[in-house]
Amino acid sequence: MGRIWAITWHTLREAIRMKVVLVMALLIVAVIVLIPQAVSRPGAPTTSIVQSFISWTLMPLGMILSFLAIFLSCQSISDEMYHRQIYMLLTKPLPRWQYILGKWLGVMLVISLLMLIGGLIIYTVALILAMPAYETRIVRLRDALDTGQVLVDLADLRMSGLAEETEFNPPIRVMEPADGQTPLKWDQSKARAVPWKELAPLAERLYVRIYDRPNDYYAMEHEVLTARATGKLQSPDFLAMAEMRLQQLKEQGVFDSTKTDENQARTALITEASQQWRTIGPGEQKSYTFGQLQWVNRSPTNILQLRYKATAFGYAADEVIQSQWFFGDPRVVTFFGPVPRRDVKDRYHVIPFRAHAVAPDGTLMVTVQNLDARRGEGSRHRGAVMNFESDEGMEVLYRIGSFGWNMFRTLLLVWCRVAFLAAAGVFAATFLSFPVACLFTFMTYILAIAKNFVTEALEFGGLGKGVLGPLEYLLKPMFDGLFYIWPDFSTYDALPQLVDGRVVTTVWSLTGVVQLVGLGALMFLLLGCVIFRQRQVAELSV
Amino acid sequence: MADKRPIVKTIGLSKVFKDFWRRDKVVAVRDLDLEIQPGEVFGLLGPNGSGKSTTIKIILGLLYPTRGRISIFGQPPTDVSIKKRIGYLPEESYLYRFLNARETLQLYGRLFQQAGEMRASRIDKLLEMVGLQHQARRRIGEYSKGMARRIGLAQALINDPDFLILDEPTTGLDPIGTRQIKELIRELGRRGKTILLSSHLLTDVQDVCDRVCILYGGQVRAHGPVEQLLSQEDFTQITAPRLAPRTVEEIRQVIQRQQGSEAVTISHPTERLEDYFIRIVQQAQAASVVTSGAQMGGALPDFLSEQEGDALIESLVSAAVPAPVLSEESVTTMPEPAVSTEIISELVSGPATDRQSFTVIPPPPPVKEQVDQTVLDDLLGSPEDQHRG
Repeated sequence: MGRIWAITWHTLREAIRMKVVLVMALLIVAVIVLIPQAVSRPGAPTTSIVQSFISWTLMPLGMILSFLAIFLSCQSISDEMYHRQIYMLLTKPLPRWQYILGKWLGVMLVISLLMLIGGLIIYTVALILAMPAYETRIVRLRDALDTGQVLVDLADLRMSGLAEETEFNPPIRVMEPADGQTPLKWDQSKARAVPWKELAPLAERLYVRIYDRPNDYYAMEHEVLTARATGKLQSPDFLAMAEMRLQQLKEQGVFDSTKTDENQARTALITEASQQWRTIGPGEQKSYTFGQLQWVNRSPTNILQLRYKATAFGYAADEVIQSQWFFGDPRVVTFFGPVPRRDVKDRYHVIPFRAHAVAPDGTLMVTVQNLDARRGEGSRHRGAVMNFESDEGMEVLYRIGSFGWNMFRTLLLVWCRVAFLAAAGVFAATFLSFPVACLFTFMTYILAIAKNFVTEALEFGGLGKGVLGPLEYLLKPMFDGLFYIWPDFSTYDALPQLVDGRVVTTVWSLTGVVQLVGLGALMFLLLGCVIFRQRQVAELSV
Repeated sequence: MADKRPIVKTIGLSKVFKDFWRRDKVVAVRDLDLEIQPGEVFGLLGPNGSGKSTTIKIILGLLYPTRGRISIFGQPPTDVSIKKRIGYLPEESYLYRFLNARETLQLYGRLFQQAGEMRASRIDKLLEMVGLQHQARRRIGEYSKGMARRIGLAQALINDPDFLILDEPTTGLDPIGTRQIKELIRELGRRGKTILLSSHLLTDVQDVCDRVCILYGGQVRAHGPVEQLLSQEDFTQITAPRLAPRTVEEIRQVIQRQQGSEAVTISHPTERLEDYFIRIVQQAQAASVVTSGAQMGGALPDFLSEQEGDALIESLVSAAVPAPVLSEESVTTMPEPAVSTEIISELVSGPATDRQSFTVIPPPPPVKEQVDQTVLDDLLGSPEDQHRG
């Protein structure tokens, strides 16, 4: 271990002394400083600024570190061979595998260091950029209520009707003024908690601290700087439904299997059933069940989000869909509703609701009523049909962790990708000269990020009909084979999830560690050791 | 010498370098049979490209033999454990420009898994030995070639090796460094270390080696103990204090009478430029002239173990107390001080008036400036040091 560490430490010191680390650190800082300038538009919501910042800095950070890993891993070994310092190392009691491992660890130490610095700066700057959303001011409770600007959480709960309930907990912190004249200074120690039911009559005298931009605050806190898990919509067995319908049609004599292909018909029926299931006609209502909620804290104070996006077929006035929502099982006391909504179509909307609507088995029933028909009565307008788009058309989100740890896990996946590249570089440098090793490693990088592109390009317009013509028939199995063993970096890219405030699961990041480092990098390092053992490092001189 | 097995043994060792198409390109070593015994200073001689470095690299496992067998300490060269007992100074100092001397030695010390304290004390002693203790904080990139060479030597000794491989150790060194290295090799030899010295500087080899082997075209052309190879049994050398011309003439007559030979040369001994140069520098150092280069090296570090007990070595070691300016120790390695002061004063302040030494040539058996003409003229074309006889 001491020897491996000696090589690791030496590699780190080389990178520092050769100013590589310094240059890269400056580049990273430059990116972090310049990106906010580029992405901030005047008047943009704070959330979108923060989201753009995170994605436009973490992505370059990953790329810079990837390139650095390619360069360092190839250079560190090739250089020592070229300048023959390796003679001095390998004539010491240093097994060659320890040399290889030490080099890789050294490169990864450099990467980790830069990643730590870059990650901390990005995290800090993101929080600073988010600060406007957290700005608060002190107002009279009456004014706040009148303008609908009660504490943001409360505002949303009021919208959902939740805040009207007397047992609302935790209570809002309010403060009485010393006298009516002097401007109020918020003193947390003097603030006291008041339950909602006592609050309303005292609204004239009490002061509350409210967020300046409640919508920004809410989106920031609950949709961006958070880590949310998802409860997925449980769809019925469309195949069974299609089968039943087919049987029905056959019995009715409508369907003739001699004239129509049964498989085609079945596919069409499945599509139809699924469409129908996602569609709510004017005035109709439909119940949906969400699963995978068994880890939700079902305390009544815990607020979950239902995120949905619906489109409207037929005329929807002002592009707005009117609906009302019910949460939970109607037979249980925690059933709650209706929550009236007027939401613009084709946009995502979030409805907060209370966690105790979730059944103990981790399922949640949500009933949606399309209110549009009522408007249409007596006129030619027959009301808009509400339709939820496929998988992400409706989902339940709940906070499961913090943004910081979510970012850590995202960076861990980036680290794994870079570790894979560094191992590829070390491998290449054991038998290739610096430029060739660099190119080789760069190719591994390209292959790892281009999997989707290549697959799509080959199949674009049908296999064999693209620019390459029949050659595609040859290339397809080649690439298929290659991609079967080659990692696809996009499956280890958690950045979209992070930016969207969705949890990057520990399982996911561990998958990255196991597959990219435990399998991929290890394989390259083992191969590198095998080749390096055969290698006569002094071969060039006679 | 408890262990009588050879340190290095090669049988029919061959190394052929192939080109890209696997065709034989160069035969660097051809059927080499070599044995290096424990405790000997073995010289590997030969002109450039004769296969010296290739042989050394095979011994070190940096190259693999094409044919033949080789064992070091009874193990194949790829065995990592034997490297603990080997010290290696390559033909050039392949050091890291961005490290300073101390960091360099630390790196190599760590590879031997030496404990921190022991490593630090060894490094101090080695830096002192090679005279770089005051330059230890400078980057090696700023070093002169000779200074880098000294660091190379220091790193070769950091593990107290039983077997020291020195590939052209004196290239790039000034005469003082050369002399020090030779002294060092002799001292290490006295301590029972096994040393493999490769060089094409013949005086170096001649001064320190017990046994030599002359390579040409990857093959052994001559080998054996130095004295045996070089002694000229046909000549005798007498050195005496300054003699009156009459005495000289008498001696000549005696020799002619007794031996019936006219081939008698009588001349004043000239000091070798090397000895003279070293003395001048030592004087400057004694006068504390500042230098940015390496200082004269110090004593051999005491951690370098001895292979066999010897009272003389004991006394040498105990005398070797580190001192800031290390000329005192070096004096012991110099020729007789009495003679040297005479000659310097003679050289510096005009012709000597008083005593002079006459050397009657031809030389005696342990002659220095003479080489086996038959072999070397043949092999080297222009011998380094034409012998006067």
